[in-house]
Amino acid sequence: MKIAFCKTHILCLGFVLLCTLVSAAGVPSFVKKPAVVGDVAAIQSLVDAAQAAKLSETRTWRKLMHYERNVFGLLRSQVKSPTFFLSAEGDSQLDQELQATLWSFFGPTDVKDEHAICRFPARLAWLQSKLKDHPAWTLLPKPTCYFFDVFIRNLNAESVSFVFSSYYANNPGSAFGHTFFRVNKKIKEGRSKQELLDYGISYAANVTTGNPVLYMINGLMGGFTGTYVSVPYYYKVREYNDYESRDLWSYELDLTEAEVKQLLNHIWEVGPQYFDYYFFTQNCSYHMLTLMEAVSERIELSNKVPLYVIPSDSVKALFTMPGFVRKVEFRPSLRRNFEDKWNKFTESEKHEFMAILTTYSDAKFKTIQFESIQRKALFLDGLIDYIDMKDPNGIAKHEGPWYQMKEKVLMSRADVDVISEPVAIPVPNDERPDISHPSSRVSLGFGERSITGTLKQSLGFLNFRFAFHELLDDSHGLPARSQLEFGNFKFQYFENDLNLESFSFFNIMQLNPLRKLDPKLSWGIDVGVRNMPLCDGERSCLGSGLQVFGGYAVDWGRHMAWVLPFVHYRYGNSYAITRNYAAVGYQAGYLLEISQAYKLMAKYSKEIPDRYATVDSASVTGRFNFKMNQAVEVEWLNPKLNAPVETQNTKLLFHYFF
Amino acid sequence: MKLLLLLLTAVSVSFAQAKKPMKPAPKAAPAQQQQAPMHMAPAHAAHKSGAYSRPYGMAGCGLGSVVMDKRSSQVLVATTNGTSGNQTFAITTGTLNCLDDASSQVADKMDKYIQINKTQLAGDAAKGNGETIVALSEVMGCQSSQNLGSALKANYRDVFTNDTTNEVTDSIITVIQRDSQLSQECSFAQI
Repeated sequence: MKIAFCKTHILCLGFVLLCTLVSAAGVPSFVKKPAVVGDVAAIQSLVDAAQAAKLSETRTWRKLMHYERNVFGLLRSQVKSPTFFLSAEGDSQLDQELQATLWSFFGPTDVKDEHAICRFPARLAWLQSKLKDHPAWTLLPKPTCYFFDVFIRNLNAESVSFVFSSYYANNPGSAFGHTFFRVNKKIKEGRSKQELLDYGISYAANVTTGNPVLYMINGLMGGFTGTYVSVPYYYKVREYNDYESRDLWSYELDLTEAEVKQLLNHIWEVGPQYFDYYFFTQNCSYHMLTLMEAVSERIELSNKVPLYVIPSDSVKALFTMPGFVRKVEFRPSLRRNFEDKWNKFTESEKHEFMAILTTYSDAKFKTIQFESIQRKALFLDGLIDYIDMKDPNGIAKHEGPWYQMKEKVLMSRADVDVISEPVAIPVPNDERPDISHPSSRVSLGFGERSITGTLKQSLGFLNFRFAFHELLDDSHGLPARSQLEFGNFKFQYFENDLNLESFSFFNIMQLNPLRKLDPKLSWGIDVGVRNMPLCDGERSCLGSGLQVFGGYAVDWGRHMAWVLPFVHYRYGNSYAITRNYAAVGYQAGYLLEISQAYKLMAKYSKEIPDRYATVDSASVTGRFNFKMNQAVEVEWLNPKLNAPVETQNTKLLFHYFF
Repeated sequence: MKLLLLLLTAVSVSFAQAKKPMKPAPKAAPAQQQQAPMHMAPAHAAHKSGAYSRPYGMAGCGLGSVVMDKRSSQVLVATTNGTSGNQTFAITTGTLNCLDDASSQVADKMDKYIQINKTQLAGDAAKGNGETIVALSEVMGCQSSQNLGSALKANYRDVFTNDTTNEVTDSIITVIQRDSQLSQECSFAQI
């Protein structure tokens, strides 16, 4: 218990060291032999055989026990619930746990579902395969595993797919996407596949606070527990596809029948347990990968992703094993379904659609003339999707004006004697999450600062970004109109000094081009450290703070433009000077996407601080993402258009994504 | 501690839901409740008065009832049985509410399916076709979904103007039973 305590909470170094010493000294491992039915000597020989084969030192046993090196470099189980271990120090002693497991398999069966055979089917299957011909196995008791049998029977598994739920910027926890398993049911003869009736198995944090600050701290520090959840797949479809309007991509895995079985066995073992949830490292994607690794020696995935596991990276990891993905499937979101219908409308139908939205009534609907009864059905089908999309909350709770309107629309639709045909929405292959650029980025560059009246100065640039995507990056497999950067460091080299120019903790920009039907605000937030007018002279002085944007964007073809008013606050403390800086202003921008890889962006911004002169700045940037992981950027920047001394920067940057 | 909290919330919510049906069941005669759930109430009984007897009561067996989170309306499965982690996992995975009774598992499966898919199902019923109807035909043990889709469309008003999930389920079953062809096609057995 003490050891577990010091693993998670760093209170004082001395205590930690003491713990380390105690565990390193290695308390002689006593395995309490539980009451067993049968021949103790035979079981002892089985345990001896396992020790002789050094099974507890194998990779699979480690993976089954979820042992990984922790921050102190100690090999410990990531499972935090004590019920996962059959021995007292099972979370730190692999061998002790293996012995205890073997003994427990031969325990009395009157505990039924609590018997080790029922609780740890994956351990049993693996140990049996490793000690195949040992005579002791014939003595193995046969407890009734009622709950496990129901679990397996309900899943009725044929195969397993890895599902990626696309980006959802409206919730910080989902901005990077989400991953989970779908257990595909066996299809009965003469029947077609019904995804809705499959099962979804996911790993998620048990979030216990609504406070965003606590959420962030707990999420980063492992303050929430993480557990696996298994629900019918239709829950997932309704939640992601409809309620949040996110596309679902599934990757069917090339697992053998035995591997599928062992995967479910192992899911059953960890299903009731809990882990510590870390938002960026040991998250939903990481713990999907570790499940697969426990199944077979051949599956190596968690070492193919960076320390910070971003869901799309975990999808890419699947492709590092040749042939591991059998097929890719796409399930369009509600929004896509609606847009498909909308695009089939004629101009006059679109006009009628807009008109009827504001005040729907049966009488008003009856006045609309349709070319045919089929057009009428399509019109109403579009309206149904639109209402579901417009107010998913009210619809789910059966309240509000949209719900009332929907009831009327549905009745009208039921009266139209047309059966809707299923629609096939083309798969947007260039949005597949597995083809997106890698999320970390390092950049190197040089440039020139020319100041009117003085010499030109040479500059060097070094940038590093943990994750994930900015507007100029290649948008294959990513939402083209949003930006989500995390941990972005920018250094500038000038006169033998490398200075931090800015650090952005996170920077989100969600541009929602205005649509007649669905006018949405565009917004952004940038939290971090940046230069501010604090120190006099040439010294670079940094202040921490945030800038919040909110405005509108429009797009036409490959062009997009936006105007975002903002508020800006910064606090700096340097060389005994403490200053607050507050400003309001706006940013006007234009982005031309020549293709998903070649982009041009121009920005102009006006910032009016509370007690300093107004700052106008302008920049033009061209980006050539010539490879999936390499790009060149050219930038011209004038940070102070209205300053008496004109300054202009030109930059050439090389980006490498990894 | 957190688990306990979650559990408590789940208990209180499902208790609130269970309250109504836990009153002495006025809708179905006790004799009927004893009968196997496959046995339908006579067709002449008004369908809103519980055509489909649920031996576990209207809110499920008390374990693993489906709970809609009022705050976010996000669909959650909560279970009130905290005795064994494994059991919890099995319950959320399957329909274990009425353990040994396979037929009430079917009933429970139908109720859960309809509750969670109600929005989409109502839309598909009005259209007479759609994924949720095809899957429903499987849940109901029907041989095909075409006739079910047409029948639900024709009876849309009767079925989907009901408030509670169980009433919707009952109405669908009534629609199936009254239709001579559908009653042949649908077995209500788990597929």
